[in-house]
Amino acid sequence: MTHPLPTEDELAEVAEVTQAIRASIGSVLSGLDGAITATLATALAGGHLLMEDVPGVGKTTLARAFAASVDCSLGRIQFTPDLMPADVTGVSIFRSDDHRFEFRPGPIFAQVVIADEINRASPKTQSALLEAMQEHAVTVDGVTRRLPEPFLVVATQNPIDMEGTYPLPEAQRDRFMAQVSVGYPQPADEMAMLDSHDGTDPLAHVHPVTDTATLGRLIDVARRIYAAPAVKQHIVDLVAQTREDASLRLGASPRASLQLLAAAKARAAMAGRNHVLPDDVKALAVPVLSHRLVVSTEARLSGRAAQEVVRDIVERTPVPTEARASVPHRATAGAAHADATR
Amino acid sequence: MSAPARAKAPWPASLTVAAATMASLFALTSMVVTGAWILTVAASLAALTATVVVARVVTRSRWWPTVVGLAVTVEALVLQFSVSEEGDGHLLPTPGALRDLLTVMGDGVNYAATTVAPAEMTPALLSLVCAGVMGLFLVAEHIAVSWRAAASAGLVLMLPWLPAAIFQQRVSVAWLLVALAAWLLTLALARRGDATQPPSTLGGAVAATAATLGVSLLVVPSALGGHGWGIIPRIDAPSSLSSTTRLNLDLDLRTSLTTNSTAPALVYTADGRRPDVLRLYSYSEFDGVAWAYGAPSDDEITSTEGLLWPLDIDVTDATTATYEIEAVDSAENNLALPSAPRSVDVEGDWGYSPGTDEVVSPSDSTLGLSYTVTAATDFLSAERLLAAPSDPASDAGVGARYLNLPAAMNAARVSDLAADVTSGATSRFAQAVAMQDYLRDPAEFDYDTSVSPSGGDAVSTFLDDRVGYCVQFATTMVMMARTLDIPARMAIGFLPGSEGEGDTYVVQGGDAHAWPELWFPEVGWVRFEPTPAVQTGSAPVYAEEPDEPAVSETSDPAQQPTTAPQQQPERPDTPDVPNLSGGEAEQSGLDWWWFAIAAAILLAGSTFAVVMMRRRRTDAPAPLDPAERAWLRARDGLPEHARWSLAHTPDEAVEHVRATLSESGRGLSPAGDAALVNLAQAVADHRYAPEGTAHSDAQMREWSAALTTEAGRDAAAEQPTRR
Repeated sequence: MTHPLPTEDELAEVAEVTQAIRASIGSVLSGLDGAITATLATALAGGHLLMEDVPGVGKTTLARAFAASVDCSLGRIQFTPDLMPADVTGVSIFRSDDHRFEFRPGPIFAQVVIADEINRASPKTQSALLEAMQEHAVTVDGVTRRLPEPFLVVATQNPIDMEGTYPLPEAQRDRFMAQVSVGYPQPADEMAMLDSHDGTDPLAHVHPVTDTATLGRLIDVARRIYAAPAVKQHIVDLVAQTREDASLRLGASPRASLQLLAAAKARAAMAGRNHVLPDDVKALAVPVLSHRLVVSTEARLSGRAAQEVVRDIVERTPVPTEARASVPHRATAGAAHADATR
Repeated sequence: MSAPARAKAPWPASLTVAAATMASLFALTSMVVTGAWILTVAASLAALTATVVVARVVTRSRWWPTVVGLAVTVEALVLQFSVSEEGDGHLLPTPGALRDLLTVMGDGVNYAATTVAPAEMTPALLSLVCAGVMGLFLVAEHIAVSWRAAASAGLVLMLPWLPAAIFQQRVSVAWLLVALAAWLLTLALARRGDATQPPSTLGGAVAATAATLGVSLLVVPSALGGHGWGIIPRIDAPSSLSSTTRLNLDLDLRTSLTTNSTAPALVYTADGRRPDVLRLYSYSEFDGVAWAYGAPSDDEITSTEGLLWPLDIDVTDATTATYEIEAVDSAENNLALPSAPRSVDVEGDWGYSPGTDEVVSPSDSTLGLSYTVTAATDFLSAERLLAAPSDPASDAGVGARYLNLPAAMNAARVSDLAADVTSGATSRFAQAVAMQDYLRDPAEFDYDTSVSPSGGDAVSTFLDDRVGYCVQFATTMVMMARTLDIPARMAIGFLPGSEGEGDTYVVQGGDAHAWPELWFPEVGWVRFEPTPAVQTGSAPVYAEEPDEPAVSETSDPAQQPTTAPQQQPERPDTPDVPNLSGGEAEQSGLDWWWFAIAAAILLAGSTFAVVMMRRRRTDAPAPLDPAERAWLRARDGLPEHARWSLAHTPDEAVEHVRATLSESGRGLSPAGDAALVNLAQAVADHRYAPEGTAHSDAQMREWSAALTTEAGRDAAAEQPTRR
């Protein structure tokens, strides 16, 4: 059960490849370091990404730029209110020439799937996508079909108070590892964007810098990053705080803890480190935690968003030192692992 | 990331605990005659200490050194004291050896229970003392060193001093200071490593303190004195206006002892041997539950000139002693007199009553009175008593009232008992001693100051309950003697008190006592001591064993008839401590449950304390390692506004320090910045990296110091008024 720590070479490869992807995306979208980092971390951690923002700020562009940077199959689903589950998963059609049914895979059978405006589809269709995200498999007509690996869904959605949206339920938002907001660009970045988009589609110039096999390798390296008990303690502390905070009606789930750790490991791998720092956890706490939380009515009325609450929690939660982590250290299996690797 | 290794136990503290334990041994010197045995104890303790220290150096375990020490203790005791019935020693603590050891220690307990302080050291008693000292060391050492709770260990080390403190015995101040000093040293040596940590065993220490105190209060009295916390109840509560001591002349057997006065009643000097008792009143009338005092009528009183003793005895072979007695705070109508008084020199309207053997005044009080008494000190001896005629006809000179039996008393029962007890006795003296020994037998009766209220027959109640204090014992002996046609009376007075300033002796209200006096023709009224309470001491030497050759020793003027009074403790109104351990508990089966409960409480208390301490320990932060300490020290060395918060990661801390210091005008120098970055990196690696940090502790201390120096210089330069 003990995984070997990543070697220097492996870490160097992770850093190099992610840097290349970052540069590639950066050539299309400028000033989105945080969003790009979260996207890459989610991809390396094997999660799915939710992008929520007003229309037209580059959500889809970011997703497409990432897909274009990795040599992988890309599926794109534009969610509309009349979209049916079969439009996502695919259908069996009867071929009259040889009298048999043939399965026509839907757009979900791709390594990177962009689900545009997911909250505009009916809950039934949303569920079809979310189940596929969870299971990495689709069942049509009683036949289960595996989805290709690596499998990354980048869903975008408009803010829930926009017209014609079906907000994702909390349980389904919890399936996404992270949610990033692209946000309006800075004036300078917007100027640069106007220049680069002038007349041409910048995505057309994006070329793959890596392939899915490499991506799979990177995912494996990220999984083997070491997390000290103190770091795990920090994650547990943060998650526990969300469950106790008066501003939150619903705190983060244990799945959130797992995914925060996985994302932090990916971020550490991207930095070429073989261990997670609390800085990784802190940097990813807002994207990984906030979309799962339900802000209490009082807090919402006073204008506090979940992101803000998480930021406050991160601010006030002390970073665990070895001394503070020593209690669970003695008790958890992770400690045994830590000692064995020492 | 390493498990936070427990710091090595501060083994030098074990040495100081041993020193404190050894010094505490000298708290017992008022109870045991000192001698070469102290070397034996010291050697045993030294061996034990050496073993424990070695174990502490070798292992970091909390328990092993103590377990090893326990094994060494058992082995040392077996080697030194365990002797089989055949007289062979044992080498190893086999079950047989342990059995023999327990037998020896049991003998020690019995010896301690029956002897009076200061006790002569015997091998059996030494085994007890050795076991006690080594056990004390193990417990104190374990608390102080294993658990770093030296303060609580002080309470354990205090235990040997407790009897001396309770009974106000003289102890060596020098040794007390040595013990205190050793304990303070232990406190310093066993202190937790890091000052930045709050004391984490506060709760545990409080729990241990409470448990130890409670246990001490419960166990020590039961172990040392049974529940005998006093001698005689016959002191009236002082009136609201005066604290003058006055004996209660209504001797009611149904009341419990509730009053204990420590106010001095008499002060006297003794030229020669101290008196065994000072008698004031004698009683003859008993109605079954209470003695009624009848003051002698005027025509019974003669002059105090001449001999006081009712018989014209030959005192040429008896030493006399002169006592100057001052009744500083005793307002009585009778003078307190020693046994066998020869003459009294007193001013005022005082007369002698030969019938009751009292010096009385119809009008004067003894309050503030000073008088001088001479008394024959070696007049009584077993030979003389044995030689006295036992024929009832020779009692003609004594009033018949001394043979009266109250109608309310079950005379047949008392008579049968007396006959049974004295069945083998051939002389009046032998009968008296047999009755005394019967009443003193711990298997038969218990000394207890609380008695159950009885009906009309207090003696029968006493014989049923088998619990009482001096009045019950004395009354029963008087009644038994009377059923045997021995004239007997009840005497009330004081025990001889304790040493005061200079040559004086001080008698307190609490020294009041009651005892029976039996008539011996041609000798007179002879005191016996049926009360087994430890503070009344052993029976008078002349009344120990009728046919023992040892009695003849008492004719040697240098050795004394009544050894007991000489060995009175400083304050006889509280139980004496001649028995060094649970001696009283040995006296009867009844006491066992009392002792067992105390032991159970002790066990529960210590368990509770240990659990509390463990819990506190688990909750408490582990001791900091060098990296964290250097990191914290660097933070503390910074100006206050530049200190990072605990929510900052090392990287964030670096940013914070850079930002705040450059905001205040002067940033860090490249060297200082490098020190900060390196230290942060080292701490981050130490905390979070699988391989920890590669930097040495010294290197980290250096960075920390460099940062502090620089930040201090910055702060001084920028904000001279700010520290």
